[in-house]
Amino acid sequence: MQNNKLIATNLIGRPYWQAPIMAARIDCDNSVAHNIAAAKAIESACRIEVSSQTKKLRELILAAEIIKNHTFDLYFDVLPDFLGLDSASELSKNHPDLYKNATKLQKFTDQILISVGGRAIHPITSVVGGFKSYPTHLDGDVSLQREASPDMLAAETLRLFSSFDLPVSKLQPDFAALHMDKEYACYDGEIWTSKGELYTEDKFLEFAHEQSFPPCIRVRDKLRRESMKRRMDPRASLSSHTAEPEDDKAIVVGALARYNLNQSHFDEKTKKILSELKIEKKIENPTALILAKAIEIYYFVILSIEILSHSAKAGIKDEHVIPPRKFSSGSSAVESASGIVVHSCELDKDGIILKYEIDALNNP
Amino acid sequence: MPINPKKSLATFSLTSCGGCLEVLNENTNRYSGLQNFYEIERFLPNKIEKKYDIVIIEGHPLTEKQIGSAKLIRRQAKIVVALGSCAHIGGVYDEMVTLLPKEKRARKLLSEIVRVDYIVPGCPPDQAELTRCLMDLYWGKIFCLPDLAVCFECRQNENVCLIKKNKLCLGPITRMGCNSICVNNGEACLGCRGLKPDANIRKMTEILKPIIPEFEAKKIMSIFGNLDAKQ
Ligand code: SF4
Ligand code: SF4
Ligand code: SF4
Repeated sequence: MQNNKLIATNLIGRPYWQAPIMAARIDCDNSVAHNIAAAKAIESACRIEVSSQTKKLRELILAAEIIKNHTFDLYFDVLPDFLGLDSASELSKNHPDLYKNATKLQKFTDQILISVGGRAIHPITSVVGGFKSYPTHLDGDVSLQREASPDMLAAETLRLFSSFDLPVSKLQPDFAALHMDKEYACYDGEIWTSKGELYTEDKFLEFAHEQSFPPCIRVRDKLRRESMKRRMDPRASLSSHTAEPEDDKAIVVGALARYNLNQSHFDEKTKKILSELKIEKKIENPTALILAKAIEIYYFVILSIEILSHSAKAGIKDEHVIPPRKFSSGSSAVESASGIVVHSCELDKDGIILKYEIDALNNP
Repeated sequence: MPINPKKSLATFSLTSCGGCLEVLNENTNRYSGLQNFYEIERFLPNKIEKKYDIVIIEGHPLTEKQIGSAKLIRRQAKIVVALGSCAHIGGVYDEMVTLLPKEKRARKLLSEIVRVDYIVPGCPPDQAELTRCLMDLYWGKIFCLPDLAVCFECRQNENVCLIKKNKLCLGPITRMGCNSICVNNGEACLGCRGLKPDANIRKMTEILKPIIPEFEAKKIMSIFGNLDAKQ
């Protein structure tokens, strides 16, 4: 049984507040996404409306987790292949500057996760109804890491990954992501697809059950084969290769889907660097997931810095965790680094979990 | 650089979130420090028999295949370290069977399947404690866990006691070593490090009685698995 099913089964019969604690432990890479999705599903079932400060802090830790995952994937999984290296430790020996970029970005995100969530893996403070404690000196806590100029590192990352020729695919997949009117949606929103379908909160589960998310193009496998080829024949170019479609009915979620559906909500800085680098507005080639991740690293770093600066100016209030008003059923969807997580629950009159479902939607 | 040669260390995951092994890699400086003492690799069950000085296991054994892998590891490792709550007391992947006698439990803990030499508890475990364990083992010393309760660290950290505020906390029965990180961050100790020696569960249940219903107390003591598992 998959981890999400095991945890969902283990949640039945437990008090509602245990859901975010246990859900975070489905997958350490997406522990914030599952923690927040569980908190939101329960809050919806308990008719809890969290404060705007809670929403901002949740957005911040979600952004930090996405940056951390993308950075790890790009620098330690993909980049060694592009550079013809066997592993991340070879990257640290042969390109210490690039290796340092990655570790500095990860330190920045870890500091956010520790300051807000209490710990780099499995947040402690983030619970149903808000936060158990607040980082009253948030900007100060993260300031050391900000001295490393994460925005410059993110820009460098984007420049680097936009300079690579990617294998071209004929596949023209459909995309699905959370969508909001005025924001690059991650924490909230309705699920939109590029086919024009809309799924509101009451239909999140329907979306998870109806759609299938088969692997479209295994970018890394392609690159690995390419990189082997290049090692044998250094004149071979990556762009000369055409990746074969693996499933033309694939619905793609994650960074590429978010980019294609929501980029109009990027901030001015992100828009500027995208136009400077002449990055197209529509990227259908699934192997360009690498580029979409680099774009998101930049966008989420800028967003994090903005939230940190705002908290430095306005200060962070010590708020109480909001208690449930009633117990019924609810659902939520939150973007994770690799896709969308959907949680859904039903509570009895005492707040005990009667039903729980967790769907982690991504293209494996 | 150490005078002694490097020792071999392999890691293996059973049903888990992967967080325990992430803790091993989390701090790049500490990890590269450990690489001065250990050749670190993943344990591959299909690989031709290779002996290791130490194998670290994370996760809870849920399938027959995983039980088989655990037994294979035991044969190929001089020392087996159970890392994290899942490998120690079942963790979040264990069924809700806390306080049931051993024979009534449907699934077994790792330590009931194979002999576990050392435990580094917690969900997630503490990286400093894991490093201390690996360095003690490198130098041939016996690695010991602290015997006191989380309350000891909590008082040192000058937290206001949650139980005194009529809120739940499992600190009095839980083994310290995490620096009471949850209470420092406003949350209760939920017992992820397992019981301290001689912990009195009955007394703890009495203390919790006026705070939460007994049924809920049991559900709390089973978040991270079998709190009453043999340590
Ligand atoms: S003990 Fe916790 S951190 Fe470790 S694998 Fe289990 S759930 Fe993950
Ligand atoms: S808050 Fe918990 S850990 Fe701290 S002293 Fe009280 S009971 Fe012990
Ligand atoms: S305070 Fe309790 S629950 Fe938190 S890490 Fe320590 S032992 Fe685990």
